[in-house]
Amino acid sequence: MHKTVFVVIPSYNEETRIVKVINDVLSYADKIIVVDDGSSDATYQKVKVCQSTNKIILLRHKINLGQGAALETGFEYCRLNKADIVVTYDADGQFVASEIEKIIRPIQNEKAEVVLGSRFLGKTQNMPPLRKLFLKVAIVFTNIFSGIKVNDTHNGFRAFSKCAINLIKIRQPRMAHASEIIDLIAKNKLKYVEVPVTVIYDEYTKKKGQSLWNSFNIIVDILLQRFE
Amino acid sequence: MLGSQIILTSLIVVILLKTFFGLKKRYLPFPFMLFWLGFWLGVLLMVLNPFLLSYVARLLGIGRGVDLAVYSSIILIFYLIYVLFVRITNLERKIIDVVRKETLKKS
Repeated sequence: MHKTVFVVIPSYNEETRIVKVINDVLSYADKIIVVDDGSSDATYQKVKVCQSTNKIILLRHKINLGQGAALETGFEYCRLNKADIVVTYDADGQFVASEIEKIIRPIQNEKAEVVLGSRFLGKTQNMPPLRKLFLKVAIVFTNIFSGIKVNDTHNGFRAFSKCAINLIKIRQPRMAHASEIIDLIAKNKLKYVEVPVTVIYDEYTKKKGQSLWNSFNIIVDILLQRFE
Repeated sequence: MLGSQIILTSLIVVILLKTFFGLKKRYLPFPFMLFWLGFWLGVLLMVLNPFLLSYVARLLGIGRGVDLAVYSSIILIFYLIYVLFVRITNLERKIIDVVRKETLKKS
């Protein structure tokens, strides 16, 4: 039986990349849910123009809430529309769309409920050393707190089964959602696998990525989440 | 009256006046405003009569009045930060819920 694949793309000020990303993903998804998180540029208008097919659903937050909140809005749409598999995909074009097939396969074969993309298992091009250091620290931090071992916690390329998406409800509105997802996998004892994915760093993605100061904010968010 | 007492008294009087006018305009919940008014009246009393602060400090087993003032200020500040954090987090969640519901209703 065909399982419907919904790809959720949270986007914030991605006017230069979003149309290409949608076109790349189009042939691998039954529906693409673009969540424009209150962009101040023309992201919304660009997606609106390329909405020629009913495969593309455009949701818009009136104000910027953060990537975690945008993902949860996309997830809620998927729950309401009974998606079988939900894939999360970044809007800056650092992933390879053809790898969607690879990331959903363990769910299609009922080998896992959650599939996490890992750049450290796969090919990664031009990763800045400082970014690598931050990601490694985040991995150690998340592994200690969540109690499960993963190789890449802050990778936006993931896939969830229908069962998993009903259990994973993101409360962290900003970037700490990545660690929260790992926590929820552990808490709900969901079967997960990691698959190698390609992450391409170019000047644009390096500029859009997390600053060191934001990394500090993520750690504060994670710590505060523990006391809630 | 010492110079420091004059400065502190003037500052506290300004705070008390601002709180009193805020009370009339209902900027903050009435019970909180009453607590705030009471707190600053207490501080004013301690400033005008430092022996009272030393007396309370001795009763609590703390050596000096000024130590009691510093300790209680730190406790109060941390408590207020905690209250603000909880309020801001709840408020943020409510805003997110409202925005999300509106977004999904339009889809």
